[in-house]
Amino acid sequence: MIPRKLVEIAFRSKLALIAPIVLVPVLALVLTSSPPKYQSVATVWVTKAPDDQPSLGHADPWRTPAQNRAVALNDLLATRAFRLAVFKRAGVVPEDASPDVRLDPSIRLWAASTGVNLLQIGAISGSGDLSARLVQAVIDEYLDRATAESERGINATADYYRRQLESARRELDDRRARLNEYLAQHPELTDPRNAAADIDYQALTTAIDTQAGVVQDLENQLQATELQLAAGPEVQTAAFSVQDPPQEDVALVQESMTKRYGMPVAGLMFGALIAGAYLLVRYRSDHTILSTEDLAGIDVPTLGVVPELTPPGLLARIPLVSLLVRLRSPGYARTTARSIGATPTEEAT
Amino acid sequence: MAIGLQHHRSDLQLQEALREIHLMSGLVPPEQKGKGIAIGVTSPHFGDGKTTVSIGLAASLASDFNVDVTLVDSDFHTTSIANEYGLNTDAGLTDVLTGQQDLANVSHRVNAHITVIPAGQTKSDPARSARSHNLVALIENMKQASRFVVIDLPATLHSMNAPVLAQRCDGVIVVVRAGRTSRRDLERALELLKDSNILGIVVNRRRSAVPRWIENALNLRR
Repeated sequence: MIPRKLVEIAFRSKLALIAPIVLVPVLALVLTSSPPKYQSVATVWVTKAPDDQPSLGHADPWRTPAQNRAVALNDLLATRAFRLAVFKRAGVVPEDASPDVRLDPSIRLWAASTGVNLLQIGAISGSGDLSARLVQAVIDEYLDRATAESERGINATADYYRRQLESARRELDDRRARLNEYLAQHPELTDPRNAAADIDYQALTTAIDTQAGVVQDLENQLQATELQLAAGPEVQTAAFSVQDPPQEDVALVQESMTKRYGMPVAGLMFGALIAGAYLLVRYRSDHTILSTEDLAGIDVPTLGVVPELTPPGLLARIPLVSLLVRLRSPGYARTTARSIGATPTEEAT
Repeated sequence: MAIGLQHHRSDLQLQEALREIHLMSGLVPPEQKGKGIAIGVTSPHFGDGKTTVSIGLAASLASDFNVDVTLVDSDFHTTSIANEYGLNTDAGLTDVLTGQQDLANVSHRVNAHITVIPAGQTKSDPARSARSHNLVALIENMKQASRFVVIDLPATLHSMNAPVLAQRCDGVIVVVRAGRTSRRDLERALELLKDSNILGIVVNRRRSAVPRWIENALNLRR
């Protein structure tokens, strides 16, 4: 059986009980609500870079080209420098922003492979336009860095070949000079029959031929490297080709069901817990007599219950009005008690 | 019209509640005149409603049984009954107890059946007055004159005269105020009144915030 006092206190404190049940879920909604977010995604076709090496990052032979690029891109996106460069490109921060400028943590950038050669690059931000600009900025920044890295490698290779070629040419010139000197000392070698019989002459000419071959190889390598350098951006673009550019009219990112409904429901439960605890404290700490139920156990009979008498008035049923009316008419109960059984004349007197 | 009806309803509510009190306490007027019943009304604290219940009980007994009732204010601390009936007099019970006035001089007939005896303004020692043999004789005189003598006693936990005066009565009603009087105070008051004939407890000024249909649905006690 429910104690009357508990129900009575619950109804008397109904505003205090309802307040946490209503306010806590609202507060949870307000605190956890975030502005709408928009996602923009670009799809990129990626292939193996020349010499099986991507321009940036390590190429795992057991991964697909798209996976290798996704790993490299996500590694870059994890760095503050790359994000800052992307934000500058997208106009999120000014071009001349200092390196320690605060980067909006609510902006999310990501890359993921969706096939062997398909890579998706996405951005989530407060507007569709910004998300699209961010995705484009990621692609541009990546391509620029990849091209720069490629050029740096090719330039280093070309420098190496140039130095080797210079050395090889000097060696070739030396060998030719030694042959000319030998011919000047042995004029009889102008006759091809004598030349064929001279072992030293044969050794000198063979050394020159070998060195000429080395020079020719180095020239070919340098030419190929210079060709790579000239074609570098095109090669990178060909290996990283945007198929679906980022869209501006992207859909709103839907909040998860857990966030949308879970927090208010959790708030509701917490509010109910607070209300329940408040009710329990009030109930346990109220030792006053509210009804005859509270007289149980006292070895004296209960004779009766006199109700609270409220002065008449149309609005007197409203609790606050009733309280004000009672405060303004302190002797109403006594006057009513005095008038019991009195004739109207007596009451008037 | 509506206001008049509501006032009438308050009147009826109170009358029914008081009728229940004298019914439950077995108060029936003695058949012989001169053998009246003295009923003391007290409460643990001031403001619990003992004076209201005293006035109502006197009026209800007079009305229901059509008999003479004497209402005595023995609460020397508040002396509010005289004011309630608009009696512009300083003379009262204390004057009779000190021998300065006769009972007849301080008795005021306020309607056809009710006689009021105010507490009086004379400075006296309430403790001595409560313990005096004059008071016993005085109550006997009142019982001779009326079928019921309703005595508004002091608050039990605030005046040690209350238990003494209560012993002079044939029965005592203890009034508690709903939502203010604690059970511990009531038990303490009953302990002080243990030598008196306690008729029972009246819960005064009870108001409920619980809608009637919920009371019925949960089968809550009144």
